[in-house]
Amino acid sequence: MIRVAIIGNSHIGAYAEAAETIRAAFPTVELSFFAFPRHDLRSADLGDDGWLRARGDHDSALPSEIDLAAQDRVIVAGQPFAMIGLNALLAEFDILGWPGTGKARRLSPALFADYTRQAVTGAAGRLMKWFGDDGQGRFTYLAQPLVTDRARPGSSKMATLAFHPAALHIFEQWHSALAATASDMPCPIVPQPPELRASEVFTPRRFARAATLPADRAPAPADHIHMSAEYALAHFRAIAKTWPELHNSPERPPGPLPIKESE
Amino acid sequence: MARRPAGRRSPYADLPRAAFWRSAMRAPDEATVAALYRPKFDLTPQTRLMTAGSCFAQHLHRTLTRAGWNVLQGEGTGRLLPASLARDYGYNIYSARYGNIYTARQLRQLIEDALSDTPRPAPVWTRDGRVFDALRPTVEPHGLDSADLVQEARRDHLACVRGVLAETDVLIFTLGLTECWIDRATGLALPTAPGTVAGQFDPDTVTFHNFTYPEVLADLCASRDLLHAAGYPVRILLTVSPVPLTATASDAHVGVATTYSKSVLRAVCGVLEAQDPDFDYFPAYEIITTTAAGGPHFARNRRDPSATGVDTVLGVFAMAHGDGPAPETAPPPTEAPDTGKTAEEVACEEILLEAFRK
Repeated sequence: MIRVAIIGNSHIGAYAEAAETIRAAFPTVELSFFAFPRHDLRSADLGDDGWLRARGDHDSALPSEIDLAAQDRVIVAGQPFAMIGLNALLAEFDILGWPGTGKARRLSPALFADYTRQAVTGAAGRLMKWFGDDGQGRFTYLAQPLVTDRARPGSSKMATLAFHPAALHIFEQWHSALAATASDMPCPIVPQPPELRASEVFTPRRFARAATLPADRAPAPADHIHMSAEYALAHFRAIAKTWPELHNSPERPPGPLPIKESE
Repeated sequence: MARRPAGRRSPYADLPRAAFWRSAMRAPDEATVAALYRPKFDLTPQTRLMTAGSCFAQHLHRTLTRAGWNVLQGEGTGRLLPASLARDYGYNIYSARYGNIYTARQLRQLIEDALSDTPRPAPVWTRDGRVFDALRPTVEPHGLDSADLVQEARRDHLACVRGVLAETDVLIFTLGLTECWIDRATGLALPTAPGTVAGQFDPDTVTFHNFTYPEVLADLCASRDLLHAAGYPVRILLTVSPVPLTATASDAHVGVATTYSKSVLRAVCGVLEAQDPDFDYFPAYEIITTTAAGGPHFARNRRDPSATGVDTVLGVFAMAHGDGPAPETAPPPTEAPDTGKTAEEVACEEILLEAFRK
């Protein structure tokens, strides 16, 4: 068996929902999960013994600790990769030559590109250092999924940027920075596959968590930031292609996807 | 040892120690160092300072800012960008993103355009298909996509400069050079020759000019007049960069050309300090280049100021304005005066000229 841990913030909910389907499709995979209680690395401790333990209150249905040392593969999901910094920057500046929001100050596209690259690389470096990742490929990192075009601007950092007039330029730079960081650092970031993108900016609406929940169980406002089990399964397939031990083993067709709410 | 003649009066008899070379330069002490700078302007930590000038002015901006002086920043990036990245793009080096201003003419041009409703478009240079503002060619190290974007960026920049000028109580301006290249089409003084950072050198498009004493004097007075006419009662604290020329286009030995340049600049400062209430002079040049404050304070390359020298400059400034103790003054050097460390890196077009040395 290949022991795989999927850890991270609220975005691991989609993978938890897809767990049975993933197990069915990849029968040699033994999945386990861990959610950082406050969606932040600082809300857990990684001990020298390899155990990752939640700090303080932990009200998730998921385990409050996990032995990362015992895992063959670790997927760190839902990482913002500079989204916070990009939001702060674009709250103060527009970009010269790009559609703007009427800011008095503008940065050059070259500076924006350099900043994005440095910020993404810095975030990747901090993640790898925090996990003690030696770069040998045991860890895989996933950025937050793109929101759908029904997300509310302001409902997340990414949603805010997705509705910026220059969103297309901004996300092109962000994807480019992720790809460069993955190849040059190297940091094993598996990008959101093309089949899970409606554009450089958005995920297709049908993958939103909101789209899969029965009306009586859907949160208000509708969640177009977190994705569904179908999305998670498709992304897991993309990840598995980067792992030789799974890439070379036959994949079974997945069973029906469950519909249930989890966080 | 010479003895004081008995019974004879001399105008030098009652002068302080700072007036005599042996006491002031061979063995400077707190009193002689304090006498280096007797400011005309009463600066307090609240006084709003604007910095501009040649490469050396970057040290002044940085050290004054770190020491808590009220150095204006009208085009900065705050903490939104990593410090080194911001610096690479010309931010947070001076009070606005004008890059190095080596000559009095450049300062005058900047003020004219910042205060104008119809500023002149900048000459542009190209490199590898990218377009550069020839008046501040290093602030965008990769250039911009088009000449139109360069002009847009310039308009944004000039608005920031105007905002800083409106806030400024005292402009600290460091004069660096008299040598300059003039764009023939516009008549504008350039910070460096085309071909150094971007563009191509073509004698049909630029001409070399070595500013004279009357020209420097006129440009500085014109800068002041422009500010006052706009309703900005800015006073100007002049310094002269102690950094020698990297290269000269004057056909003279670079040492001779350096002495000419610094002499002209220093002489203009002297006359303005003495005769014009809107100008004062701060002797950073003397602090770095002479033994007056324990120097000379040059790094091992004998060109850049040492870290100790920059600290001493700030120490003298702070002491004169009642904001610090006397800087330490070492005895005059008997060997190489260098601590081995230069002051922190500065962004300098002029130093790029070294790359053209045969």
